[in-house]
Amino acid sequence: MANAEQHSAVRLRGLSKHFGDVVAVDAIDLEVGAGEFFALLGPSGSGKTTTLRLIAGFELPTSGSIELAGHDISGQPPFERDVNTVFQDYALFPHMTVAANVEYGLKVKRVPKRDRARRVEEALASVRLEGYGGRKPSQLSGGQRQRVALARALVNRPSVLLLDEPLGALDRKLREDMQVELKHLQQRAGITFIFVTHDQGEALSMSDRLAVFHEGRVQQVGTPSEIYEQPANEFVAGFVGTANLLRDGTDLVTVRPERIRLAAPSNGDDGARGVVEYVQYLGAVTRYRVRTGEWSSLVVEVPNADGSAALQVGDTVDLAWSGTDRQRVGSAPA
Amino acid sequence: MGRRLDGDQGLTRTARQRAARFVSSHRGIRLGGLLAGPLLWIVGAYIGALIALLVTSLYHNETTGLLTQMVTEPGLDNYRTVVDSPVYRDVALRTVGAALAVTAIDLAIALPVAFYMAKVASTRSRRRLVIAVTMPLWAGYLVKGYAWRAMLNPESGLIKEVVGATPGYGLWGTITTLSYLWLPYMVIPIYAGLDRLPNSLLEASTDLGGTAGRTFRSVVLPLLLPSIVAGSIFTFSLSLGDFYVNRIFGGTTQFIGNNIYSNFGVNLPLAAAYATVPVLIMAAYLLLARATGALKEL
Repeated sequence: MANAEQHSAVRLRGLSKHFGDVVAVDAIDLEVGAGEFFALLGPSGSGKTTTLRLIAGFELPTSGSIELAGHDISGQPPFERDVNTVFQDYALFPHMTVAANVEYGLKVKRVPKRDRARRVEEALASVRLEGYGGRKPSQLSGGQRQRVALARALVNRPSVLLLDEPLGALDRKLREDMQVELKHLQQRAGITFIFVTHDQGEALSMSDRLAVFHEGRVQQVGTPSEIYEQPANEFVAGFVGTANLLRDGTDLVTVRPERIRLAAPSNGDDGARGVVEYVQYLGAVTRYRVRTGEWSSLVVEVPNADGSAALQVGDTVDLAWSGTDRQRVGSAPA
Repeated sequence: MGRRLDGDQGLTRTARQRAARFVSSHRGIRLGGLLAGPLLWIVGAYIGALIALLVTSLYHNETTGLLTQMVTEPGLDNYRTVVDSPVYRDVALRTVGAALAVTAIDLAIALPVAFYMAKVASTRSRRRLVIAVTMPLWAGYLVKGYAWRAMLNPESGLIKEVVGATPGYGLWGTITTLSYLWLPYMVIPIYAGLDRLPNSLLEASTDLGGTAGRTFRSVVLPLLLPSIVAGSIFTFSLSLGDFYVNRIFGGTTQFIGNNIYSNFGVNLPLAAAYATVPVLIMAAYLLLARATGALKEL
């Protein structure tokens, strides 16, 4: 994280974007520190992608400002901004070779030819694509194209790299590999990464900090564990992970499914008794839905490692959770 | 009665089913059935006519007294005349030059128009613009030709009134009119090409530091080349074969077509020989287009 003396890598102040009557981004304030791996998380239409496009310069803000390392860039065209983007569809130039794609930004900025060749080679090596320079994008797999897109952006050594759903088009196994690779790449390059995703697992596992978007506003900013453990409101609790919503007096509280034990409550615990309604075997854990009342049920996740006998639908169980695992997320509806 | 009918229908259905099964399992018959008609038309009407043209161009006319007769004795005299005569050469060069000029003018107009249609306009106005661009094609060629004759009139034409000067009925008048006539054939393929071009490619270029001009040269133009070639094949070949605009304008400008037309009744073999010139030019044009790789994506 940036210390107080340094400027933030990116700073958004009261940033809004309207498309006609639609408010895509609604007066958001956000600071991303230099060298951070920062995620913009939210469902589709939440304003996260528009925010990324505003930082890139593809959209101009309706109001508010964007600062890059302390300089206001709100009115600058994309080609003057010291940021580069990895597009969701990669946007590789189909008529150019891989090397020409990566070289493009350097060529446009009139970097001398010899430096260009060296930097292109380095960039391709950094994404493990040595020897692929002569190929056309159409001859590459999805994962390879993604890495070319990364190399093409990183070769320009931008102060901030923007990634729009960078792993969305990849299949699961490849996506998990790329998550690790992206993280390594960011740590080696020391560049601020801001990436947009609708996948909460991806956001939690990759980012240093994240902002949760909903309806054009930032709902909460924090580290993955802050977001998961202390959700600021009902939306964040429900969108990031699974949350059991409970009424506690006048408060609305959540308890995470893995914090609930299949045991009778002891001292200081909250508890409930209910009937198992369905059972989902998920490999590492088993997930139960337990009906605790006519209008209420709880989702409980139990590790499969402890050898406890699996419950059957219809079994009656005692549930217990510690008071400290209870998170207030708002006021209960009257 | 009803029962017998049922039986008949059952029989017919089986026979029909059997025929359908036979056809569907024999690929050749299927293709033959599909293509026999069009093939007959293309081979008979197009290739046949072309062969007739080539054969006729090898004959020559002989005049004895007042009587001119076509002699069906093959020879290359007509081609010698076409190549050696300065008049024929000038007319051919003028026609090619005009066709190139029309193509260049249409391209210069079509690029920004198509770009606006595909990348700037809203979806609704996009549809309206496509209709607006193609609308002139609904009006007859002659109507548009005569309308331009009225507009280009050096004394009282609309263009003279409004602009103060007019290209008149000379070569530039013809080029102007042909550019107008064939513009939709250039706009539509370029519009389609731009429509297929993902916006993210344009954004990627500007993101990497490319100005609008750079993006146009390095990304848009190379990817649009097949569409431009497709459009230019229309504008170039249609201009190359046109002769009626010149006739409407009073015949001061001669194109290959005008020459063929005036020779048609007088010296048919010579007209035929001259008619092979645009065919050869078009063949050369297509070969050139193929060399750019542009035809691969058509």
